[in-house]
Amino acid sequence: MLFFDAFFPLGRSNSSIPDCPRTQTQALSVMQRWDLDRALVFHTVSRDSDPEQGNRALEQLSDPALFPVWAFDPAFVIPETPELFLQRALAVGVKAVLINPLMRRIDLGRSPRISQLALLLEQRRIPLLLTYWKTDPEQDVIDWYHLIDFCRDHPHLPVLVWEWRTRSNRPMFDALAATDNLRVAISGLWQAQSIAQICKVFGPERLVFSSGLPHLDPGSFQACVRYADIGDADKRQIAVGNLKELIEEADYG
Amino acid sequence: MADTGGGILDCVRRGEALRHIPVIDFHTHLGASSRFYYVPFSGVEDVLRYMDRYGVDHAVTFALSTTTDPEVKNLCVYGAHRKSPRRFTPLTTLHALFPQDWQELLEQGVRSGSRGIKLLSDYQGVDELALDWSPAFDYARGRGWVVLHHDWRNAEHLESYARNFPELTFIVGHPTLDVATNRILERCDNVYQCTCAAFVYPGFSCMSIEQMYEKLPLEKILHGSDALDLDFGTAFGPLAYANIPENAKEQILGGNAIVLMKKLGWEIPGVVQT
Repeated sequence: MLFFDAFFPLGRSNSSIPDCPRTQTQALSVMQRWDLDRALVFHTVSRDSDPEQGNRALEQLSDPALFPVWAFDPAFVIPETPELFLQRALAVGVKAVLINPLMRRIDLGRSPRISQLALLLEQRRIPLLLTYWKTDPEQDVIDWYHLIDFCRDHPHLPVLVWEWRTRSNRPMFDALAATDNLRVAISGLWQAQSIAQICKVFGPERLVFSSGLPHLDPGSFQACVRYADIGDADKRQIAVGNLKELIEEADYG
Repeated sequence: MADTGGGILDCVRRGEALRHIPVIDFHTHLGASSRFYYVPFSGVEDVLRYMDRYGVDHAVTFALSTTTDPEVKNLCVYGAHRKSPRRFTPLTTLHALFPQDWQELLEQGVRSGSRGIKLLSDYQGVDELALDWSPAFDYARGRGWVVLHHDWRNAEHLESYARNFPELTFIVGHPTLDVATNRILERCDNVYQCTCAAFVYPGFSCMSIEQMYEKLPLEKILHGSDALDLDFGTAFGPLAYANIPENAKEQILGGNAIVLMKKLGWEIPGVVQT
């Protein structure tokens, strides 16, 4: 079983493993060693610091297994409209857009530029990746109840969320129960049998694979899927199928 | 045990139980809830099925995140041992804030099949370095017990206990201490290192599996997953993918634990006969 990583990074960042890839060649090498077949690729500079600088650093990507993800800067004073940003992104083959609400202390539901972008993405069913990362590892940084409101405001927008560790799983269960379009990256689900629990109650379509790079050992979560007490079809859906479908269903034209 | 015809990584890639080698998990928790989270499928039968899927033969286990009353939390662990002594060895968790309870808890542990003590003072709001566990360790002397601590804080602190209580075996619960530079594992015969949560390198752990293999005496490394706090997979995966020899993986996953259990005189039918 091979995997499609929804949150694969290029670049250095605080608390990263020594082998975190900086180049396409390194990325492909890491992917081969740890059974990653495809990846949505963002740059750590985009997530942690400067979206445009990081986005430009993805210009090196040419391998068909690597799908670029651009980060969006919600700063209201930026002259470029979200529409023009998206046009520019789609023109270079971007398959998803990333926002790190914590780096910018953004209120997803009240940021005008994010609202505009979310509407545009929703119309096209283009995935929005929310990476909740502060400067250093911190658990339980997602406000799941806030996320419920955002997902409900954009019911047709595929929202994929990632945090270093979702230790307080009760609010996450509530968010999955209260929404249909929220998907959770499994690299935040460290608790035993979380995958089986979520599959059985909410369905396998609510989970996407993430290796946990660059902050966790890249071999940490494949076994969690392979040994999960769920059917083989559900495992394949989590490993690859969910992301593949999301990309196939999106309108990038 | 049957030969599966493949190595550990081959088995893990196929999601098959590691039936060709003994697997002893020296750091597990039982319980249905902690202050942080709900624990899925936490009943004993569920946990046994979970262990079987991975091929975990035996688990040294203790209560989950004991920031509350340890007696009540320990009962759950003793109950699992009573139901399935071949699969679970319980340790007795103490609360650092209540030394007056330790003797009673340890006596209860002895009656309930406990083979050691679990400590986690930092979760219990007590400064480990201001504590004196000696009364509890005195009680444990001569019983073939282990003492597993979430965080010994520093190697000097641990070494003082290891030297004062040579009859006890001290386990560093997570790779969070710099035992490599200090070489405490080489200097103290009764100190071991658990792999538990090595996958959180460098955010929590100070060594990856490969670094542990390179820097520590191999025979002192014990496999630990932190399940049901963490998923077995988070421990199996990094070890299986690690670029270290197959026999080293086998030793870490169970071989070293069996040697230790025999040394301590633990009789576990089907797992360890002394």
